[in-house]
Amino acid sequence: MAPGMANTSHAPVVLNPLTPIGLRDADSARARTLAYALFSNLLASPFDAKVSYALHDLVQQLADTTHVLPFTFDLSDVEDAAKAFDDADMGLIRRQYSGLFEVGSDGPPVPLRAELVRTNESVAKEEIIRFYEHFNYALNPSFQWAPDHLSILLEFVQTLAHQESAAADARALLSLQLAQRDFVARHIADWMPGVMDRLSRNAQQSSFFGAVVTALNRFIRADLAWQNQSLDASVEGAR
Amino acid sequence: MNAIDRRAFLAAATASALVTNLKYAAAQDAGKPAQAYRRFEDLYRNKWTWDRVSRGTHGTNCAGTCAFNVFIKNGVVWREEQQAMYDGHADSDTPDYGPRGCQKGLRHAKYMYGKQRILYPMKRVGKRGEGKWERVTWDQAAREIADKFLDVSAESGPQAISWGSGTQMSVKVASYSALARFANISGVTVPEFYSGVGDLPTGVYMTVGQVYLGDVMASVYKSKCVLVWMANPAVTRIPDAHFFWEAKYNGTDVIAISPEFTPTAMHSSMWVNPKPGTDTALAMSMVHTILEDKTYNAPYIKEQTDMPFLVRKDTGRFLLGTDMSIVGKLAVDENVFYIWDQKTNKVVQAPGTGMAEKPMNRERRKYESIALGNLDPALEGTWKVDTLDGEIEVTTVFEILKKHAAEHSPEKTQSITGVHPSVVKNVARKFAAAKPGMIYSGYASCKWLNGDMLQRAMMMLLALTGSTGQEGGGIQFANAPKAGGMLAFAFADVGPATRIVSATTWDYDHGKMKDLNEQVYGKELAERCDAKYKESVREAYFPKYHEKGWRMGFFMGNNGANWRASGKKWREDAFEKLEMIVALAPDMGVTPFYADYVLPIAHHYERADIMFQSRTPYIQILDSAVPPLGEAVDDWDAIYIISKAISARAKERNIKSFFDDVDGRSVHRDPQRYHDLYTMDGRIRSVRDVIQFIINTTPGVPKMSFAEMAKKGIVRVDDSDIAAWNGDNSPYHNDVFRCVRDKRPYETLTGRQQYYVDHPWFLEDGEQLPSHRAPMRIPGYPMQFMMGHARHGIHSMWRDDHLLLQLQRGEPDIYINPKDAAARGVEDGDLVRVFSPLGEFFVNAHLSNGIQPNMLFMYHGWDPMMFKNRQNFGAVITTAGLIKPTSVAGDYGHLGYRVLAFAPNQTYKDFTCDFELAERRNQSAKT
Repeated sequence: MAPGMANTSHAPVVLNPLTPIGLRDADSARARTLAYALFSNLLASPFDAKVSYALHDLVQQLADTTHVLPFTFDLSDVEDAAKAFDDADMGLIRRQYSGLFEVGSDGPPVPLRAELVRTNESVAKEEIIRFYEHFNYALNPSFQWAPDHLSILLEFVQTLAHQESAAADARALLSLQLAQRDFVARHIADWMPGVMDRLSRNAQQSSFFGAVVTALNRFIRADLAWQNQSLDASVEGAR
Repeated sequence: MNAIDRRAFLAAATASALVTNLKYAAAQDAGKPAQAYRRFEDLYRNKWTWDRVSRGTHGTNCAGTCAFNVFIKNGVVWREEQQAMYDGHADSDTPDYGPRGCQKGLRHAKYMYGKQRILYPMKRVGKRGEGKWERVTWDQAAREIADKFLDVSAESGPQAISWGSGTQMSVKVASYSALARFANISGVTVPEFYSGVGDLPTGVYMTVGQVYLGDVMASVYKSKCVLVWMANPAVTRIPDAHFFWEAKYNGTDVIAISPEFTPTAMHSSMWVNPKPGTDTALAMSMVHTILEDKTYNAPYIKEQTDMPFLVRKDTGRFLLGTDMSIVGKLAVDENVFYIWDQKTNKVVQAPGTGMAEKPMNRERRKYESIALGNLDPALEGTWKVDTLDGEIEVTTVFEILKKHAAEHSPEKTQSITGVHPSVVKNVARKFAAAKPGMIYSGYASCKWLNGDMLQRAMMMLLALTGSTGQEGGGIQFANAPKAGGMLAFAFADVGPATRIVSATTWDYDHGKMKDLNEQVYGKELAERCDAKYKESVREAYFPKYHEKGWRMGFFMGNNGANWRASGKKWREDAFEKLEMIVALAPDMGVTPFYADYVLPIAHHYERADIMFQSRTPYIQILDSAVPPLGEAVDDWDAIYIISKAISARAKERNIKSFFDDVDGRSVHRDPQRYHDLYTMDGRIRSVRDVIQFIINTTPGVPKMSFAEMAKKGIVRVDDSDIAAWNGDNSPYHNDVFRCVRDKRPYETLTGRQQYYVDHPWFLEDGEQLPSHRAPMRIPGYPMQFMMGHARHGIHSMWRDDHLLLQLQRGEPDIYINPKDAAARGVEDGDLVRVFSPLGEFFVNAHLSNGIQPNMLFMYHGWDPMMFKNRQNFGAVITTAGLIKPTSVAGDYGHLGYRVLAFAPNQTYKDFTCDFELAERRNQSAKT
């Protein structure tokens, strides 16, 4: 395990029987691409015009994606939360999202920017930028001020997984796989407990977006565990 | 899902827009070869480089304007560094200005991304102060605010809407100009904060008719004796404190005068520690010593001051032209004053007097002279003169002063000040011997009820020693740029039609402050303050903008609910009663917390502006290092958005233009045109256009483009060759230097530095000359409460930064003498309850022998949000309603309301309170 990786990286994970361990292939990368893209969209600000807010569709797609992921992932709590959530009411979506993640008297109740949650903020932010530069991921100027926003971090992993699914040679493939594991461990999984802690102290923890964050926390733990298991043998040899 | 279905699903889904259309990425450079990645250390193989280094500073009114380089990569500000490219020195033999900066500025690259940032427009969804918000769009916020603005303007007049500003804007000239322009166009009331925060040097104004007397910091080095009085530059002037210590090592006596042992006192040549609030007694005892020693500069005071002017002994009033049988009936000789010429042994009209009293005839003063020529005015003596009232006895101001000062001899004041007479005489003699002497005063002197008299006494010391108007001499407050550029922008196309009122009187009128006076100080004092103020308004000495009520408040560039003196009462009786509160701010604080709409404003590195600060001979540019975070905008743009919404809604609602009575003038206002007027019909498109306007129209500013200035960061202003603003071509006021150098009349009733004020209200209160008044004490509350500017914050900004808090106690603290603490069973680190008849707050006890007994000291600026119950010292300060009668006097030459020059200060320091143990926190303390 790379230094600084979260302790959750080797948490027990139930593998999806459709994807035997070791078979880390283009399909598993596509499935994970999809999952990261969906979580990124679900946690994007509804004030951002570029994001689709057919939330029920997103949830349904994510539910469908759970069947093709290389590990078992239960989305029932998000699906339950979505049932009582009117995704035609953009005002409700905006109120709930911004009230939880964007505005507040002492900062947002549950910040989605890593530097507001973790303590070694500048070092971590620098490494995020180094990751982005290493893999030619450049942010649109209007989002550059928050490179550590959870939704952006998820989109970055999405792009890595997407590249993995189309990687032509073994070296590139390995690079992308290792980068995903390190990035998720060092820049998402490591501060998700802080997010969960803040969520647990907030009245909106059972709200739709609270359920999304809770599900994401489980997803990240499961995905990281799967990445470790699927990489361990081959990676050590490659190194 | 079988394998085929699964593959088809994945192929379709990953080819969908959801995956292919990235939300945040600008583009991925597919042509760029991917770098191999094995472990995270690979990321660090490439050298970290900057995309850009921009020039910047921190647009807060710390008076620093320190030139910084701001380092940017990928649209993020990562760090800053002192620019240090100052071009040397004020002149050939003073230290230079660079590098400049302090720990607050060097922390800003992190602070600007902190959790306190306001990033999006917010609308309150719970009760006021409940802290429940929802993000809204700028369009929604602006539209709803505009509708309320138009309703209030139509129903009560625009004066019922306030647009308050503060220290976050005062040195950002372009932003301030934007606010001034909109206020001028719309007629909203601007409660000015100079007097509102108790910073207006009214005693200086009473003396010389001007408040902007400060020079560059290198002037300290040119002084031979600096009294650092009610100031703590080691803490508050971090980039400039070196001038004091370099001066000391160059032979200058640097004498700190403060009740508490400050970090400045620690490094000074001498520390004098009077009891709190007794400084005027100390100053007058120094005056007495100089008079007794006859070490005063007689030629200077004969020419520059009113000390040789004749005063009627029967009435205590100046002998005027209207008293004299020969010329009294001639209107042209209004305001003629007299001296006794020792050469001819006759009463003679004082040169440069005889100008119309109302209004102050500034133009004429430019061409008059106070030069004595062949006259030799007597300073001492008594004579009989013929007047319309018959023969009367007259004497001089100087003669009256001598007797008055004798009442303040060092021996007599020792029991008041606690300072031994030998110390007083020693300091007075050092000061008298110094050529020139300087008094470096902080604004604390303005925050005492009778601080005006302390300033008059300070000015007297400087006059007696001939120090005012000399390089390295005089009183040092901050100077300010000549108003040309800013006013030209504010008034362009529309003419002056602004309502500016002292925040002190505004708060008095709307915060039920008379009730507070009565509760704390009794009915007699409350009635007297009220009667004098009301008379002043009735006689039109002061404006009456408050009469239509206060219904809507904009707070921009300030944290107004933090700094109000009796803040708790003001919040309850004025602020929270507003129908709509709009806070425009970069950071969360108590003002946004109670607002209905909170609009995000760009922070220091996210905006452009031009900063004037007279402490250095440089203009400092603020350039945008990165775009504003989130949906923040700069102040120009915020007003742009709001004015646009106002005009759009006015058109949609068919709201017509109206005539607005401003001080008796009928002003045509058209809400449908506000936005066009604000932008000068589209000619001004951004704050950069405003900056260019300011550069082009402000005297003393080198003429170049903003882009050129931004490349340099700092630009030296014209006429800054010596360590004083004495030149006519500099951007800063040089009126007093001109009076001394060119012998022009001062902008006072007498045309001189005026130490004797014979206005009836001054005579009534015995304030014709500066006198000691005992501090305001509340019976049963023994602790004098003192405050000062902080080392680790500028007002409320940066106070909540977690790193800076680690350099302190992590929470607000109050300094207490160990004896007072022991008497109440308090140990260091305990939580104490501080209380007065107004209320209470809770704070960490910081025991220190540097604090006198019966005194508490607290650095100011801690936001109420950082305290239990959201109450800071504003919960115990009882003095906000104390409007001193002489500070609302009028119909007397220069006395009468004058914007940013003469108005009553809000009093902050002149009260007592008490404290007790609230919570034992010190684990080692015996219980």
